[in-house]
Amino acid sequence: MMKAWLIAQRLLWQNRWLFLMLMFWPYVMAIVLCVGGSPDPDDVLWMLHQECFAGLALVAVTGSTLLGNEHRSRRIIMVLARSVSRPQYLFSLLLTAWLPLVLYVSGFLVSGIVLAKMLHSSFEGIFVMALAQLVLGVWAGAVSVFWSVLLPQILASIVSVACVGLAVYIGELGMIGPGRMLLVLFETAISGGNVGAAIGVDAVLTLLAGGVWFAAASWTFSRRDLNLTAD
Amino acid sequence: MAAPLEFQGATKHFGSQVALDHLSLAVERGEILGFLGPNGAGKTTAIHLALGFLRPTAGGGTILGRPFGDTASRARIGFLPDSPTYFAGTASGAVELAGRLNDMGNPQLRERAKSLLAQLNLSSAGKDARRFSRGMQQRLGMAQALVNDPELLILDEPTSALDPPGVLEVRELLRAARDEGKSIFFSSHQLSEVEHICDRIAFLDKGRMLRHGPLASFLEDSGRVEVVTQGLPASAEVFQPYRLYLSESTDGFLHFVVPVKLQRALIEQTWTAGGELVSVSPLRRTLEDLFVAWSGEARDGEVPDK
Ligand SMILES: Nc1ncnc2c1ncn2[C@@H]1O[C@H](COP(=O)(O)OP(=O)(O)OP(=O)(O)O)[C@@H](O)[C@H]1O
Ligand SMILES: [Mg+2]
Repeated sequence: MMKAWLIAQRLLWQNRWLFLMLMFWPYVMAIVLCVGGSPDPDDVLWMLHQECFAGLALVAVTGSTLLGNEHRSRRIIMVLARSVSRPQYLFSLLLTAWLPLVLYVSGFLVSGIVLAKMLHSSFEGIFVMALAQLVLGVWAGAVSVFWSVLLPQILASIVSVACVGLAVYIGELGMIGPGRMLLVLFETAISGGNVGAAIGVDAVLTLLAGGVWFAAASWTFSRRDLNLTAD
Repeated sequence: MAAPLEFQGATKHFGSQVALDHLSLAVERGEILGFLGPNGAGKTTAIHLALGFLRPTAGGGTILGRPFGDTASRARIGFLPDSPTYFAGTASGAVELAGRLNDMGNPQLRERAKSLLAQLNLSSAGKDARRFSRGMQQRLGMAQALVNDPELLILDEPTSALDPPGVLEVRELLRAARDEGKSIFFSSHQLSEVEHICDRIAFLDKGRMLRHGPLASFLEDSGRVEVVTQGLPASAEVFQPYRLYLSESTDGFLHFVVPVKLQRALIEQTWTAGGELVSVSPLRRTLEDLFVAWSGEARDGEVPDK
């Protein structure tokens, strides 16, 4: 755990500019909405939902590209030559994909609350969406790390984002776990009045599903050659 | 006690290509084993199998008594790859990261990193290890490999980018490590370096180990000496029995390459006939001669039995 964090620190630092930019993204969007007077409630809700999907896509894309980058730069052997196991290494990638989401969600939360205040609305829904994003981020990160073990970078990104989309579809069919959790992201009102009672169960199931994807990724990665001649 | 590093029939195929073919080889405690072979022979592949970066197609081996790829045992080895790369950050940051990933803690780690960087002449290196020259990166990789005071060092061409003082410094570090009882396995194309410090060598070509054994046994006398004389012409009576051994004749100097058992007779007869003796030198084979000969053998398909 400690080792994964040490590695993740280096990887995060490597991409610090991108992550800082993303952190400010929700504020930029909020300012755009407010240009020309008080924003329309429907626009605000629509934008919050867009931001939720963007947050998850950010995790999925980061998670699916990190492993390929580290192979290509051969930095991976500088790490795996030390006493670091393959699962520990993948965990550091998961951390690197997920931690920027925390920054992003903090921006989402603050800008969302400010917008809700301007609309004189209660803002429980924004907290629900923020927490749902963080929980789903774990799952999306694990899914994308799994695909990055099996597929080349670009394919891994496409498949990971497709997995997130597919889960939305499955959620509409009334299934539980990540699927229904995703619907929470796209259907919750700013006031949070329409949040289902089973959201706690869905959150736990989502984390469990993330654990299963991560275990599958670790199992597979532990049995594969490093591909240092990539591209 | 088991050998610190042992390959047991290690085999690696990449698709239809055989990169390593049943390599069996042990590195003993307290020895320096040089791993030689032409480009593409499979040296790096063997090293990557030992570290668990690659999984063997067949066979395998042990590292510090554990199967290849074991995570915990890697805390007690030091590895320098053929082309080290770094995260953004300082040299001491890189060495400390390697130490912490090998379960080391402060304050020993900071001290150790500092002294290694000083030994390897990196104390005043710039801020970002990614911008170091190739030789500096190799020095830094060496510091990373040594930071945990490893029992076994695995080095892939450790001196390929170093300047002459750097080569000497690394030579001293490796000798000191061996004298402390550590084992060192390193691949190299710098044959003079190998001649200087290796106890044993293994020669690999096309994935097969063609020769291995104590370095001295390969370099021992060729059984011939070169005798250089002056003052007598090549046509002199005394040289008639040695005509076949005359290798060169320039400016009145005659160079004979004769079997050791003939040297005494040749020298005495030269003196008796009034000639001068300029020099007598035993002919040693160099690793370079052997390398070329062995690579040639493999090309001609006369691969000897292991
Ligand atoms: N990941 C890989 N995929 C396919 N072929 C590979 C891979 N890695 C190595 N090879 C092949 O295996 C053979 C052995 O390569 P290796 O890198 O082990 O040689 P080497 O002895 O280290 O050579 P050098 O002296 O040039 O460093 C080569 O023919 C190489 O092309
Ligand atoms: Mg090599």
